[in-house]
Amino acid sequence: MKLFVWICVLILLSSTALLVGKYPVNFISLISGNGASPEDINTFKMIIINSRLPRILSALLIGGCLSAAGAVYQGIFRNPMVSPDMLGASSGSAFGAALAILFRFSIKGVEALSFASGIAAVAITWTISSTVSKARSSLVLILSGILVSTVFTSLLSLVKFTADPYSKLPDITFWLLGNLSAVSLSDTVFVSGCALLGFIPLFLIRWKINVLSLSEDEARALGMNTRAYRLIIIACATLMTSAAVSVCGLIGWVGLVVPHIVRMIFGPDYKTLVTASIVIGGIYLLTVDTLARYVLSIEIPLGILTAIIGAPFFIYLMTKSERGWS
Amino acid sequence: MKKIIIVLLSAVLSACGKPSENNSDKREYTDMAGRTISVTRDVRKIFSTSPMGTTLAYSFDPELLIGWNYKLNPDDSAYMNMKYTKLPELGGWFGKSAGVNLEIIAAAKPDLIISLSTTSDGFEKDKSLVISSKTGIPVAVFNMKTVEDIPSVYEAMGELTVNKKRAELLKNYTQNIINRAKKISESVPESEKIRVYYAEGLKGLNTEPDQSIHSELIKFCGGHNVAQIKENDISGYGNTPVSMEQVLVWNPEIILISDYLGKDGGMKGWNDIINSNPLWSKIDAVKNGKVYIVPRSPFQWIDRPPSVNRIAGLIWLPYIFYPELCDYNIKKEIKEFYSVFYGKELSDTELEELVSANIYSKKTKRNIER
Repeated sequence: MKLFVWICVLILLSSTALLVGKYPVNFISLISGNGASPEDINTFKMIIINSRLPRILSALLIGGCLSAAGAVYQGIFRNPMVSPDMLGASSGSAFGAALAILFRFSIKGVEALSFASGIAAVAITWTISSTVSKARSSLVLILSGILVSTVFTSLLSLVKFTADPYSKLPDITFWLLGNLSAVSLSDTVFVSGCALLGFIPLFLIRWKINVLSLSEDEARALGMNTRAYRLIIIACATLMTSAAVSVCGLIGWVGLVVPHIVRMIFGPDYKTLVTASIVIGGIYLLTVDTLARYVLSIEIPLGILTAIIGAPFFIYLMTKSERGWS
Repeated sequence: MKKIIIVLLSAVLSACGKPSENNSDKREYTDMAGRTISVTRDVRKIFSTSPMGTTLAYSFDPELLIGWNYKLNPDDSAYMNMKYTKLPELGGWFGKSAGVNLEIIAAAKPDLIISLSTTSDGFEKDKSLVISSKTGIPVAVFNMKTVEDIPSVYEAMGELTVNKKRAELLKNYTQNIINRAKKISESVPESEKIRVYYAEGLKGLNTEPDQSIHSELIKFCGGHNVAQIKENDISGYGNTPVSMEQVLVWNPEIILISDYLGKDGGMKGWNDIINSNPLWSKIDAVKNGKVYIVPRSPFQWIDRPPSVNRIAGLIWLPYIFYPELCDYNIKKEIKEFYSVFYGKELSDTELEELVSANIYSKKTKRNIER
């Protein structure tokens, strides 16, 4: 029921966001076909379809993907400080994108290489941790993740170091700050595909995450193949994170903070938590992105806004909430 | 033992004494930041802390340079003398560059380090102090807050080096071009100024707002930069992001595109961009074919670096904005610029290559051939 209310909020916000923008779109003439020249009506249509719609949908999807990935990671690693970039997905994607920009790939090529290297980074993390520890404790996995992230971050710095200061370097820098201003419809289709592929398995096994968020031994005592489930969950979360990062660049905070907000509203049960994370994450990023494109005539990089808005809001919630943090 | 110490001591003392003997070769010089430094009488080798100063030194006398600040792009070095393109890449303090290994600079023993500044804040002075204290090489601060400072910067180069004639020539040459561009610009009433958008970035949605140093030439040549954005909101690093809708609202009459635009740069980069987003075709500049690629090699004509290379922009931009007000032969003038600045005699094909990017507008091509 609570979720239903929030879905209504999401729909309401999305429709509002569709009406808001820098270009004065006359919706009355767009619908009735009167009061403006056919040329203008055509422009209105193009703005809605090519500019606002992909942007709103992408914001919803990317916010949802990042926070759902964060929520399940926090569960399976039993650690509230974990975010979707834990296992190297973000730094892998960032390195892939920078490399593609350096070698003058097309925009689609940049997204593809970014997506692929995000997944590759997590695969490397998984391989290292399985080789190192037969017990496959989450500590080893987290440590391997930190190592792989560090290596990819350094490789990224190396790419930036060699990049042409007038052309490639500014492109890489802005890509890294996170920005939805240039998403196209095809990007939206790609993200929604990955979001669905990641979300459906997570949704189907959502109650197992509850078990996994208990201790490893307890989960195994309940007769669960913890390794298999963990692999599925990590694969889904990685798919969602890499898709999100490959399209819009690095957007921090969403995957870390939104799951906590969701837990404050809906409680810790993963039966609702997974879906609710998608909804609240979508609402959060949509709100932030709408501000980013409306407040000033320049675009404020999303990575900056999510943190500036997110941190105080999170502190406020923390002081209001009586839930325990242990 | 004592003997050894005495020998050593005398050796050290005589070594210390040496520089003072050379002091007669030194003289006092007051730089543009008002600091008095001691420099060699005739400066023969220079290192610049950023591409701005390096471009200045290259145009003045490439023999002065001990190295570049970044790895030259092959497209750009095609317009340079091979001898100088092979100079080492020494780094610099600019953009997001990692800085310079000061020991390498000290070892290369330039007579002078120049630091070309676009602001008059204390940062350049402080930085210069650090550099000179660590390398023992004097640092001269040059100010170039606007393009109008270019002649005085050449004058300063003349004071520092032996090449007074060259300084005089460049000072007068640049002053004339600046005056002419200013005159054309001033003859256009505020209300009739042409609306210009400067497109950069992977998707053409980064720009340089009105108050940015990177777009100074647009304003100086009488264009109205559509990106009127408060100074506080501008990234000093440039490439301010804007949205497609915002560009539609601005509806510029002319789009200048950075040759670094898109993935391949130039025309191809631009084509990729307009093909990927049909909204561009709704903009007046695109409808009327008034999209121009800013020629680039060896240094971009209006920006990047925002240094003396912009003199070419002062010849070219008025032509793009107000062809009817320009009574000079642009082809001849550009050839003259390359000859005077870079010692490069452009062939007709090379000139064509440089401006071929502008085939997009048949009108400009005609003008250039005039």
